[in-house]
Amino acid sequence: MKRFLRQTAAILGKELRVELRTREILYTMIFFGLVIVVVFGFGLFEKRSAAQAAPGVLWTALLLAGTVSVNRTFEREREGSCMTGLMMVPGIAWSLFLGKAMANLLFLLITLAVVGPLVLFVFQYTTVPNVGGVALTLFLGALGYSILGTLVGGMLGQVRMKGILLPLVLFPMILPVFGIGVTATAALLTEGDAQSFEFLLDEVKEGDELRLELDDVVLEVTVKAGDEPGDVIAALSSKVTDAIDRERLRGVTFTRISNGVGFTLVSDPGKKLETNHSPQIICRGADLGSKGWGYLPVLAALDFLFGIVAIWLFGRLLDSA
Amino acid sequence: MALERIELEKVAKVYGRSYALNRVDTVFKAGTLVALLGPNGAGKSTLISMVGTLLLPDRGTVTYDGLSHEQMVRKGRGRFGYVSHDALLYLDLSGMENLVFYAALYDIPNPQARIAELLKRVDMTYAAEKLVRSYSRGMRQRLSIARALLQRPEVLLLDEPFTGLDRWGEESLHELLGEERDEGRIILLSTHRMGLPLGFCTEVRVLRQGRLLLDRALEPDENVGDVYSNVFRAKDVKAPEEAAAAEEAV
Repeated sequence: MKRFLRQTAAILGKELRVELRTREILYTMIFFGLVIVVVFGFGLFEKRSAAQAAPGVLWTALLLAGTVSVNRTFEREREGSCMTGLMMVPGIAWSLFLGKAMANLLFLLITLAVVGPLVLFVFQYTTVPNVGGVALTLFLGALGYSILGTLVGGMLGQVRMKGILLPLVLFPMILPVFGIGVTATAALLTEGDAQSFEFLLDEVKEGDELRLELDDVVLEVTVKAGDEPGDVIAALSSKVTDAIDRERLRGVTFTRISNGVGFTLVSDPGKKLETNHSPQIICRGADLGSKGWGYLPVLAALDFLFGIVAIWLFGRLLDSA
Repeated sequence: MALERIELEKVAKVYGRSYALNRVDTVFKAGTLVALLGPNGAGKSTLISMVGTLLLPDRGTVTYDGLSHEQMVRKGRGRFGYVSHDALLYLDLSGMENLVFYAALYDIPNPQARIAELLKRVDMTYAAEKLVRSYSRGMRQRLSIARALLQRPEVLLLDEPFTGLDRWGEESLHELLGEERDEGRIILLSTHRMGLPLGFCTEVRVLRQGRLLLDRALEPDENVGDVYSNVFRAKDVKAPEEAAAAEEAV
């Protein structure tokens, strides 16, 4: 076990040392990620759905920037045929896999740390609900990606046209992780804004505080015992009292939905919201994160499954090489 | 227990339609330094890779003190030190960092002392802190030899180890290999350069087109180049490359 840990640390250390010296992977990944976010940002600029696209953009940036790291995973071993040198070391397979996967994970997380805030800025998030949940979702996604990416990178290590084959093999495999990841991030990020207001009111209970922010206008109500959704709507509407508020909220209508258990926030037809931001609705006290958080155990289970399969396959791969 | 005997029995390796090795039977014993000779494409590198468990034979068997090829792959690869055409070194690490990395992988006790000793033996102490990328071919080769000796391997496989070495480097390699042979290792050394003084070798194998043409011990002071050219004369060599090699040897 001690030897395994020492070997893993040596491989991780070597990867980081070479990367610190050359910076070829990280710089490319970050640049790639930033370009993707900026391009999407231009495409969706001033669209009300922009905020909804943010989780997809973030995960797309992760997916595409990650290919740089995954593609290069075993490239350094090819240079100078170092893979042969590694293969001569007994019991190296698991350490090699783990060291490489950890390095890939680190590169992905650093890229996310740079690209993530840019996504929030470009898609005009003034507040980020469930920051911890979003971070954990991205971490689990990056973990799954690094596990599968390292495995596929190793499998295609010596194959010609690896650059073309890698996405073709890796992307379908990683699809479940990214599908769940995008859905979870979307749920965690959008809970509290106008698009999920209907959902919010299904969840609120006595004592919860609802807060509507639209630029500098802030409306707050506390849900009282026996309140129906209609009562909450009326309470919110009644907060729009002065002319400035009405001017700011021009085009916004609180509307009961048909089944009477919630309501949606819509703009009047033909009118544009006089705001630079999507209306933000924050609900304090309610268990809003439950739906988004609910995806995380699934993601973790997928990562675990990938890890087991990858370590087993990688060992077999290296033994038979 | 140190490896005493590597036995190849009717070993064949096929690439496409051509045989890289064809029905090769031979034995390598501890304490011998075997010169593996033959023109380009004779199958020397294939044989070395196969002995080093990096290639599986398509036919025949390779056994290591009775252990199968598969058993050695799983448990015994650390018993081989391997110097190939490529240096097996990371170009963006220094010579010292490369050796420290491999020492950690092999879990070598007191690695700093061992690395210092080897760097001295291959005369690379002065360049240890420089990036391998900045090394000449000969320097890389010398560091590669140090890397191969790091874990005190029982079998030393040297595929064209003289490539890029200057005369002084060749001489110090002769000396080093003689010492390693005397410590009871099995050493296989392949070369196609017959001009080299290979007096420190104890046995010779000559390959051509995958076939083993000669397998015998060398007499003291016997010239390997003469042995090689005699083999090809006897076999009526006509290929220009082989004729040139034989001529160079004479």
